[in-house]
Amino acid sequence: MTDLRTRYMGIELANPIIVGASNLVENLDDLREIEQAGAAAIVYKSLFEEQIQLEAWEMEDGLEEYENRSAEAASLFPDIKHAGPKEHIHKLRKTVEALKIPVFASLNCVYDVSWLDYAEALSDTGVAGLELNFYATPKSFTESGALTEERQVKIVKEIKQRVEIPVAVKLSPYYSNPLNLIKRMDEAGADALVLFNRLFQPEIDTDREQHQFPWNLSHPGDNRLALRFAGLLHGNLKASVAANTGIFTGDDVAQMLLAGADTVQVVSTLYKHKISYLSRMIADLTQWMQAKGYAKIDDFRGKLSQKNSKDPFAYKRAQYVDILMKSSSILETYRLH
Amino acid sequence: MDKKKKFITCDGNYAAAHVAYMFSEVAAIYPITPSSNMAEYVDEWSSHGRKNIFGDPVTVSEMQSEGGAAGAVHGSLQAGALTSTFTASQGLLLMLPNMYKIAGELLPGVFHVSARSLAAQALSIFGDHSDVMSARMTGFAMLASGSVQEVMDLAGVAHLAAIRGRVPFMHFFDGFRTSHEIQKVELMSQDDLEPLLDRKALQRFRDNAMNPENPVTRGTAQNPDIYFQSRESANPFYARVADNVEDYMAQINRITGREYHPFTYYGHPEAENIIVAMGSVTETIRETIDYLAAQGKKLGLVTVHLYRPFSEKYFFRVLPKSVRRIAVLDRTKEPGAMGEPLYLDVRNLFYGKAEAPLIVGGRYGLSSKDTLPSHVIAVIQNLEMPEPKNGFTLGIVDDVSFLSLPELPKVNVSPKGTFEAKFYGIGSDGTVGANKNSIMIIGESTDKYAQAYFAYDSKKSGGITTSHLRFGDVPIRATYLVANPDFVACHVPSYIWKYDMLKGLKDGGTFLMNSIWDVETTLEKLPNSMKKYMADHQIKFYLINATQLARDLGLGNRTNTIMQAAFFKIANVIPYEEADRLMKRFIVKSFGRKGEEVVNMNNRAIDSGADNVVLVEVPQDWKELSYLDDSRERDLPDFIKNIVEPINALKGDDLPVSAFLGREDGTFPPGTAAYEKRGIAVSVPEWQPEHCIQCNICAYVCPHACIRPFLISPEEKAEAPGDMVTVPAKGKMFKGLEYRIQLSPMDCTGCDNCVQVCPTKNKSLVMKPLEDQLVEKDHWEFLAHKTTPKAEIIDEAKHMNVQISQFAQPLFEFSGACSGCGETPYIKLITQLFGDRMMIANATGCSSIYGGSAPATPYTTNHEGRGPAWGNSLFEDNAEYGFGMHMAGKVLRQRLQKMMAEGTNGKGEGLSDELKELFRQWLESKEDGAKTKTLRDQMVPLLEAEKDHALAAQVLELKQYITKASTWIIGGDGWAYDIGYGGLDHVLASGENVNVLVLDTEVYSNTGGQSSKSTPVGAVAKFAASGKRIRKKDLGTMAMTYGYVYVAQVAMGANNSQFFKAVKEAEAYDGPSLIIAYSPCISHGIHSGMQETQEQELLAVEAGYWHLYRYNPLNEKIGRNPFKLDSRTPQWDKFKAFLNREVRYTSLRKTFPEVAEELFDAAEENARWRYESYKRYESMDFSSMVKK
Repeated sequence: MTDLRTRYMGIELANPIIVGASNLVENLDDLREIEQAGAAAIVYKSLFEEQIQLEAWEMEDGLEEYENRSAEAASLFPDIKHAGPKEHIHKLRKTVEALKIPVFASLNCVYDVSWLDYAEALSDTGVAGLELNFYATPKSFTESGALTEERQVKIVKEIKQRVEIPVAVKLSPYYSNPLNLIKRMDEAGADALVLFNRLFQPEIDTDREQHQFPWNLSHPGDNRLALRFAGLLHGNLKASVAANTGIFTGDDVAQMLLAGADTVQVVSTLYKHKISYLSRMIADLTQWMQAKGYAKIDDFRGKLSQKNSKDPFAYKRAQYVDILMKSSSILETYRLH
Repeated sequence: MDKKKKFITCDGNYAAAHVAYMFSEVAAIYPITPSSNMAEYVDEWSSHGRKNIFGDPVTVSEMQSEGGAAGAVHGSLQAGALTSTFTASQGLLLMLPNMYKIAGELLPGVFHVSARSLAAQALSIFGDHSDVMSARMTGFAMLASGSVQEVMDLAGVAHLAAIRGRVPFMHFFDGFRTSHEIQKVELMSQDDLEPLLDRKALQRFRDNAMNPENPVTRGTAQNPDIYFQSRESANPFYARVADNVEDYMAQINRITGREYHPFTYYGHPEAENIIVAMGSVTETIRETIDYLAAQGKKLGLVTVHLYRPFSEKYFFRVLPKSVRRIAVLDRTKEPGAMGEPLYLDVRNLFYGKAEAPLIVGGRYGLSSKDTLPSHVIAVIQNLEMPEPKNGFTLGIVDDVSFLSLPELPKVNVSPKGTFEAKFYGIGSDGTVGANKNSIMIIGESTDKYAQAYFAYDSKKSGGITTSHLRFGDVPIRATYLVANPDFVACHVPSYIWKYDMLKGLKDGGTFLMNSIWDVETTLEKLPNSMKKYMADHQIKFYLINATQLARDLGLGNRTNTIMQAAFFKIANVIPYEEADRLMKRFIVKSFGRKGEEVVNMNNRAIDSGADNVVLVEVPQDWKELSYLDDSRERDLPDFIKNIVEPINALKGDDLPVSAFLGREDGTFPPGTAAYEKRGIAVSVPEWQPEHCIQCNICAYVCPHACIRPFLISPEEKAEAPGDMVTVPAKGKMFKGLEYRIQLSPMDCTGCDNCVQVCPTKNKSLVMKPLEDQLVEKDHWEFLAHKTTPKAEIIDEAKHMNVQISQFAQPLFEFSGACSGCGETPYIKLITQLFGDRMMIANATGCSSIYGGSAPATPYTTNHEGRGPAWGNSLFEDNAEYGFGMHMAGKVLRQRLQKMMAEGTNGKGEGLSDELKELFRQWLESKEDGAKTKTLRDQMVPLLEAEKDHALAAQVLELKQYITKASTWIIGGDGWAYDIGYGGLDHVLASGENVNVLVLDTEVYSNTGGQSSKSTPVGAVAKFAASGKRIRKKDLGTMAMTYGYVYVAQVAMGANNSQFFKAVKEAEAYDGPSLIIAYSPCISHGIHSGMQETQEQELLAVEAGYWHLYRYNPLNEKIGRNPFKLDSRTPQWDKFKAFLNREVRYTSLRKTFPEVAEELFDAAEENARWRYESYKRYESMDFSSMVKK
């Protein structure tokens, strides 16, 4: 019997595949299907403070649109205020109640005070853990990178003091030295690192000369960056490591585990292949393990991490050098095809 | 006073509600302008958990009418809870019966009344004392406040004195002028007032309450033997009221440092001439007395605070011995009386007294008519005359009865340092909102006093707003509109041609204009009169293109913040640096939670307003220009020229009484709206003939009847403007005619519904900028006035289908309804089918406001001069009113029937055979509207010719009854479901042939969005801030239970022919008919905008939110089920998506998500329940019902 169990942030999961934060979790029926299909856990879609702000603005706009137009009806609605994250929290709570598998909350805030308040509110919903999604498109030309990092580490520290559930940190790869930041997050008490979030990337329609906002689904092959970092981090952190982006098949999962990740997060593959594809991924992983003779994940986790690699240079610059060195043989290979 | 004063900036309604909240345990209310906000504040505070002096939130109940509210107040008081209500005008009148009861039973209830005119020759929502004076005999004590500060100070006295003395109180203040005027006032806190409560008296009230522990019988019937004595036994309670009030006022005086008594004297201690008045005018009088005192005049004012009981003791306590002459001002009219009530009361005080002063009385300020210092001076001058005029009027020119005092030159009596500003805006541009902000900023962040008052016209789309702002270093007492501003802003460029905005602008004052043109073009366009005024009065003239700046900043059409900044930049009310800081702080306060971007955008708007306002040189040679602008003399009816146009140009105040001779009863001629040509749309539809399939749906749905299909004969085509494209009309019956869809661009509001409903793949209508479509004005004029209505083809055929019906002239056009209004297209179709023989009884509400706000009358006439006769009585009585109209017609037609029957028999001898034959035909088909029209046309010339015959002459006297009238009773859901339901039910039950159209917006739209029994579960409305919890009433089903009422539920956007059929069937049915029409409204907050009101009807039906059916009792007689469900099986999966399209639902999700989930489920369940009920009705077998 192949044992797929893994531990993530101190929580035992049935297998290493977590369904990442996305709109897939909007519908309870889909969620149940995800659970049925074998997901080990889900990350509920992110609570974006920016979205709350815009919603509040939109709501107020809607309530006030026809105000002050007639003596009798200076207003048309009662004086009501947007409840902030309450709607999100309410839906999250319903999701937690509806599922047996662990549910993680995900959070992205604008203001420091909101990070703390919202984190606390989310932790009260019965979620198994919290994922802090430090999703921030660079906007300022004046704020230094060090300041940004300092602020984020501080937020992690403070949230850890406020909530009792484990806290994961999801980062972008666009820091000058992500390894240093990851280490500091680890020391600040982060229980897991999630590698990496995908930043919003608009396109431009050249015919209409307008911005376009396409779906930001990942593609096969997008997993390389996370793979590399999973390999670099294995054995160097107290925290767990979840790899995401571009994980489409059971084989992709195996690769991440070999590199040293504790879990993976998938989203795009479910959009592309439907939710039921999850079972196939699990079956493929099982089959691969059986073929390789692995009884459990720990038998091979991190086998190809930097720490366990025979050539310690392989994970740093070496692979790039390697490729250069082997370029003639690569060309040879391609010619053969 | 040792503690630090705390100020707030609020209106009078807020102040009254603030204090009433403290002393109320229960509030039973019903919305009515201008009092509604008081109840709304109390409800909101209650839902936010604010505590009264007993530590509890107030329990608020919205009732079905003011009558119901008064009943509930009575019951609640009787059972021991301190209970209040808030009302005005007709609402107070509906409470009268219970006021006698409450007073008779010595219950300490308190009514706060924002005093308003009563509907007489016309309705008015504005302020005077007609309502409270109509309640002066109920036994309620009456306490008057004249300013927002006085409301704050004295509202508590009403509650405290009621509790202590057991006599209920009506505390009143002037509607709009005080209820809606925003002032910076000193706050009265719960800590101030709570210690004044007489706890022992309160305990006595509780102990005396009805309770099984205290079983008593109240409300007995008494006979001649004891009723009288028993009534007199309460006199001692009334004898103590004035002392109680004086005592509480003394305590208030200690708290506030201001001086109040039942009568308060102001002025010279040895004044000989004084005025007695109450309400907001007393502020103006005080201000004027000070102004005249500076000129050495010794004058005084007795302000009446306690009007009932009217205390001789306290009056004489303050009246200077020196007084020789008194002018008493009444803000009410009591036709036929010896004088108005306050005047008679004051005169009575001196009856039989030696050396009584000379006392005269006069009326002023009806319906918020301004009373200016110059009017007060006229009153004083009248008193100084050897024989002062009595029974005078103020502020109008009465050239009929010659009662008015002369209009004197305007004077500025404001204390030095008062800054006055006036802003002209359009309904939706944010001007009023921005000025409310300005007043808050100044009021709450500086030491200055501030006042704001906002005036609107009666239009629901594109109406003018004027904001009147004052700032000063001492409290502001000017309770009238700004007449001599230091600053005028014009936010709407086109107003330069419409309104005399510079009127009264002080020498050296400032004029700020938002101009969409560059400086040069603006100067070219500016009328000479404005230029000359600016040159003559050394006006500083500033321009800004806020419209463009707003667009550039991504603010859309929101120019408000830019204009606000420009105002602060150039007006110098406070140093601009401070204003900049305060405005930006305010923005963080209001938008901070909505993110940095929004804050930044608004901050940029402030900077841009301040940076881009430019001073324009006013050349001296403008002085040479004429004040008379070139204006083309238009060929207009006298009424339009002399009455309508001045009113629309904001010069209605200048019309003398004689302007209304011949229309003393309030009558206005039909069709005046057609002369307005407001041009308020930004974009209007352009017809694309190449795509058009001539379905006419665009015309069918147009809320303002400004897009219509026309049929044009070859002869007419030959006369048409050369550039007017037409296409051959489709359909056999129109052979040889040309077709054109024509827009009246100046009447269009740009709602876009016509484009949305256009079914062609390539839209046959495309929205284009108004300025590019002005050529259509000529085309419209030609088609509307120079072509015939093709009546010979249309009259019969219009009943065939929706498409053909649209060739008939709408006899309801260009109303002031909102852009995209969901109600008006329903009414319009009915006028197209039956307008020339229609009688309309219209309940008060949106449909009466856009249906008949003087001077605009959208109900119009056809080429024969016939059209709907329209009347509005009240809110609550509309079914009965229409029923009465029907009965009048019925009885007079019965007389006609009798006469014509006689005509065909013996008494007809001497009449022509043709006439007798027509009589016979009429007797056979007198209930057939179309036939009776034809018969009328044939009969009247014969009757005229034979009028020497007595019978012909008698029939001729009643000729207007020959045609069978089609009686329509129209109103909204507030009327039909709530306040008018009892009457509606009775009229439907009567079996009489009347037609009822309920325009169901599911909320009180006209008074600002209060919940009705039509409001569905889950919708957010006032008095249902956390979502309506009670299932929507099924009015149709209730009516169906009679079995003989025709009932239809319709939504034209979902099924236009079903509505068409319903209207025809309802009208044809010889009995009562009820049509309930789903009417999307601005109060729904449709996310996709009011351009999709028709689409929203479709979605409502598809989703099962609204169901279409017709119940025709005639079917029963032939063994068929009278009920027919016309809508398809709902797509229930769309139900919640439908809710998510409207702010009234989504706002619940965003404010109370858990509640929303529960209530949205309940809403769907209710909709399914209704649908299942309808399915059950539809499956019933009526085959056994065939009449054998």
